[in-house]
Parts: sequence; C-alpha cells; structure tokens
Amino acid sequence: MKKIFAFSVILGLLFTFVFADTSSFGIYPDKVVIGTFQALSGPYAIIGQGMLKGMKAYFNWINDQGGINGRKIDLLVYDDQLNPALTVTDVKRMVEQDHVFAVVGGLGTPGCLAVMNYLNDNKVPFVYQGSGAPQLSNPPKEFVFPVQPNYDLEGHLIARFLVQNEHKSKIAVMYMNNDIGQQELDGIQKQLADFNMKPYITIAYNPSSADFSSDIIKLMSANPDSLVIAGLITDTIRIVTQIKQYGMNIPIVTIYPNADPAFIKLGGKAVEGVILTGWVPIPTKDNPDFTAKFEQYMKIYQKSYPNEIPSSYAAAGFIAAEVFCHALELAGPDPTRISLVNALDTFDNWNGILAQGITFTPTDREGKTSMYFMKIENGTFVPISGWITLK
Amino acid sequence: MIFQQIIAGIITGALYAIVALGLVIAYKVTGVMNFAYGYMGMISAYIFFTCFSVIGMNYIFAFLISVAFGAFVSYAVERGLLRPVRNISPASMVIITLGLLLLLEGIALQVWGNNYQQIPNLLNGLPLILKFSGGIIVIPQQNLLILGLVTGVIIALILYLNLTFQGKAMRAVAQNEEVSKLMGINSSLMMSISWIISGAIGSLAAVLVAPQTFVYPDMMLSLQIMGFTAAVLGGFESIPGSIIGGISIGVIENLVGTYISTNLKTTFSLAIIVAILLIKPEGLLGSAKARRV
Repeated sequence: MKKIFAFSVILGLLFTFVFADTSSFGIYPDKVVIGTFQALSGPYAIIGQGMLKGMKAYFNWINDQGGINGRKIDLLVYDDQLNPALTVTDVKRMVEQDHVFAVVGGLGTPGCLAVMNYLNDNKVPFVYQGSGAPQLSNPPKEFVFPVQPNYDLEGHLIARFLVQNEHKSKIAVMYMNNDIGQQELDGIQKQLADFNMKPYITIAYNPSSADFSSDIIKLMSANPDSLVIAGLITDTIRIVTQIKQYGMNIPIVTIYPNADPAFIKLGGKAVEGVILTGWVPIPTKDNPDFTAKFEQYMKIYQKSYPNEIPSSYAAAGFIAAEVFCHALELAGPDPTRISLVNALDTFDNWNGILAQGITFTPTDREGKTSMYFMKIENGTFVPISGWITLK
Repeated sequence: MIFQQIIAGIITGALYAIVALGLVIAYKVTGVMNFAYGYMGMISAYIFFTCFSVIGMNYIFAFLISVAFGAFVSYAVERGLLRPVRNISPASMVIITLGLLLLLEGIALQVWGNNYQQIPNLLNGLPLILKFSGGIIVIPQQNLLILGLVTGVIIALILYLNLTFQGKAMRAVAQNEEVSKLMGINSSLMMSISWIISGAIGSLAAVLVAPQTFVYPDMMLSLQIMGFTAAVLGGFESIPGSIIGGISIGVIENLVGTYISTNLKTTFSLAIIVAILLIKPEGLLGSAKARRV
C-alpha cells in the first residue's frame, strides 16, 4: 500500500512538472520576476555594471509609477563575469528554480549564444542581448529578440562608408581573434566583394595582448589608406595609441561597442579623429525631439544615480528595459510568455525614450538595422552621417 | 621588416627580462618564488596613478614615490609575512605569496575600483626613424625610454652585485647561507635588501608598462607569466640567464607573430621554449646540479 502511495505521489509530481503551465511563470499579482546575467566582476565589469545601472534606472522609474498593469518589475541579477560556463548555470537556475518570466538584457556574445537555444527550447522570452552576434537573429527564433545591430551588418556598413563616402581603396582590417572580430571581418569582406575589392591586409590579434608592435609594423609595411579596428575598448585604444607612437597617421574606424565616453577618457588625445559607428542617437541641435527625450533619459537615470553621467552601456541597459516594459504593457493585464512574444512582434519602427526604430516580425528578428557614423573631435562624439541601412 | 620586428621584440623582451630579474634576485637569496610579484607592482602603478593623475604631482616625483613604495611593500612582505615562517615551512612561504596575490587584487578593487585607469607616456614625441639600405626602423620614444631605463637598471644591478661588498655578500648568502653567516655576513639584512631591490624593479616594470596596458587589477598578469617563463628559460638562478631569456622570448614572439601567426605568437613561442627546456632542462645559462643517487 505504501509503495502504491509513494508511486502515486511521484507520478503526480512528475505530471505536475511536465504539464505545469509555464507560460505565466514569474507573473504574480503584484510583480513580474525577470532575470538578467551581467559581468559585474572580472575584466568586463565596466560594461556589465554600466548596463545593469541603465536597466535598474528604467525599472525603478517604472516601479515608482506603479509598475506595468499594476505589477512591479522584480529583476534578478546573476554575475557571470562574461564567462559562458557560468552563464549556462545561471540561466538554468533562473529558469528552473527562480521561474523567471523572461530573461532581459543578458551581456556578452559567448554567454548569449550559449543559452540562446536553451531559452528558445524552454519557451522563455530572451529580450535584448548585449551582443551583435548574427546567430541571435539569423535564423529567427520564436522566443529570442535581439535589438542591437549585428556585427556582420556593421561590417557591411563600415566597408560601404569607407569606399563610398571616404573614397578609400586600401582598407586594412585588424580584428579580434574571436566571434565578434570574425563576424565584423566577414561583413567587411562581403561588402568589399560587392565593390570587386577585398581588404588590403587583415591582421587577427589576441585581445588580451598589450603589445601590438609586430602587428603595427606589418601594417606600416603594407601602407594602407585606412584601417578598421574590430576590437573592444581597451585593445582598440592600445592599438590606436601604439599606431600614433609609431608615427602612423591614417583614418581609423572602429565598432559601436567602443562608442562610450570611457573610450575618449582612456584614449585621450590618441583617439582624436577616430571614426565610430553608433546605433543609439546623440542629442544634437538639429534634432530637438530626440534631445528632449535624451533629457528625459538623463532625468530618469539620475533619479537612481544622482549626478552620474551614464555610459553607453547604461544606455544599452536602459533600452533593454524599455523594450521589455513596452512589450509587457502591450501583452495586457494577464500576460503570458506567448502574449509577450506576440506583443514584441508588433513592434514596427517603434520609438521609446532612447530606443529608436525597433522592428520585429516573426520572420525578422533584427531589431535595429540602421546605424550612423561619428567622429571624435575635441574630446566629444560628433555625428558625421545620417542613419544608414542596408535595406 | 625583420630588423624592425627584432628591435620591437627586444623592447618587449626587455620588460620580460626586468620582471624575470626581480623574481630571480629574490629567489636566489631567500629561496622564495614570489607569485604575488606582478600584483605588488600593480599596486605601485596605482600609487603612481594616484600621485600623478589624482593628486597632480610631477611625473618624475610620482614615479620615484611609486618605486619607493614598491620597495617598501616588498621589504614589509619579506620581513612581516615570510620571515616568520621561513624556518618552519618553506612551502608555506609560496602559499603566502599566492594568498598575497588575492589580497592585493582585492585591495586594488576596493580602493580604486574596477575601471581601467590611464597613465600617459612620459615621452610622446615623434618616433626615432632610422633609414638604411635594408629598410627602415621606427622606434617610439617611450620604447626608447623603456629600453634605456631597463638597460640602466640591469647594468647597475650587475655592477652592484659584482663590485660592491654588499653585492658580493648577497651572492655569498645566495650560494650558502650558513657559511656566509660564519664569515660574518648579516644574512638577514641581505635577504631584506634582495626583496627591496626586487620590489623596486617590479614597480619600475609596472609603471613602465602601465601606459600600454592601462592600470587595473590584472594589468601585470601577462607580464608576470612571461617574466616567470623568461626566468625558467634563462635558468632560474642565473641573472644573465633571465636577461637573455626575457629578450629571447620577446624576439621569438614578434618573429612568430610576423612570419607564422599573430594568433599563435604566445602559444608557439612557449612551445619553442618547452622544446629548448627539453633539450637543456637547466635553462640556457643555468648550471646542472650533480646529485648523489
């Protein structure tokens, strides 16, 4: 009898587990529990801490107004140090133990790619990734919503800008020997092939290096007319600084993860004249509508972090929070994971406060496909082009 | 291009050599492998950053303060943490240096935070350009400064160890502590001096490399690993060996990076070194020790 009872209990638990309605996990009468993974310690903490601040600032602002449809946002944060091994265990814990409704704003290409299929298979919405890996959007996945432009697209746009706008023909590419660098290089090569060109010289480098002398000497020997550096903030500044030390003076273009005030602060005079791509607009006199929105962003941010100037990583976190909250609102008073997905798929060139021009459809998950170019002049970013897109 | 790569490799290697030198001098006299060496230098780089960029001191003055601070920290570590356990458990001393590494990293994070900090180059002018029939060599001014300072320190150290009484006494302690004591040498003082010199050299290396790496808690990790490698390659107890080891690694790295693959430059260079050590396990200038079996 005892055995039959125990068997029945186990069977009952199994049925409960297998057939539990997970679509509204994380939805409580007074709150919505969501999760994120960020590098809050380790070498990439500068990015993760900034991104988390941006998310928290927006969620605090929403919660102060009573939340979304009467539910406050409860954000669980895991520090994965941008280590994909930690990301996998953290995300599994979020989904299987914490029962989060969605994962919002995870940081880092390796970690995002490591958990992308797991989240999609478990039907957990994964909204905004701090990554431009093309695998996130191509092929489209039902529960994965990338927002940032992907690196392949960026490579195309940079190559097109250098050839068509700057009339360069000897384009050198220095790229990190990892997914980001390779995807940027792929985009550049494909776009140059459309012009019947190819990179003049390509140099892969190890992003943890501090000494780039051998790479720069190779570059000097090749004598290109322009250089694209597909690297992150510290290595890009090291390369630019060392190039200047060697007395080399060529136009340098680098990628949007570097479009942050820290790039100018760390790089100092060496980064003057460097051209960068951007996807978050900059407030300018000729764009008063966005300037007003930017002022609102600053007020919201500084309500949580008084007197602090937000980094571009904070802006990314803010946009992640904006996209999620808007979709949650559209999902109605009794949201489910499916209704959130359906709501996101209605975004059509949607503008929030900082979020601009975000589009999703079930067959197109490249949230943001337009970018612009800016140049560092007298220690500030100055836009030098309008919005550019491949479409 | 090959001359240019060799020159650049020598400059990188000079930094490896000076770190190896600092490790070897402390090891020879006290027998302790200091795993916290790079992190002690990192603290000095933060001191330099604080003095120069935060307080606004003169560059040279800030430089001297940070090197003196590094020497003092090294002295304090040897006297306060290592000496008490020296005769109880030599293995504990190595564990203490590993613990110190974590402690210093934690202190840096707490005091200065996680953000990268910038230290400018002392020399920023146009590079030195040498044209000759075989090509052209370009050397940035800061690299010339590094090369000059490192060469100066190496020469001064060799002269000190070979021509002064104190230097000879230090070598005597390194060779046989018990006999040197019987000869009237204050071995305790010699140990302290070796760590003071080692700490000052580590700080010098950290401040010289900081404009390139930026200042952050792990800034010296790579340099420390390459310094250890250079010391092993040279024969861990040989001062000229550590210099030759460091410069060899710098040059090999650059040549591998140019003619084989940039991605593989560290891996391939270390593989070459493993091969050399398989043929000559005592290192390039180390002496094979005869053992009774």
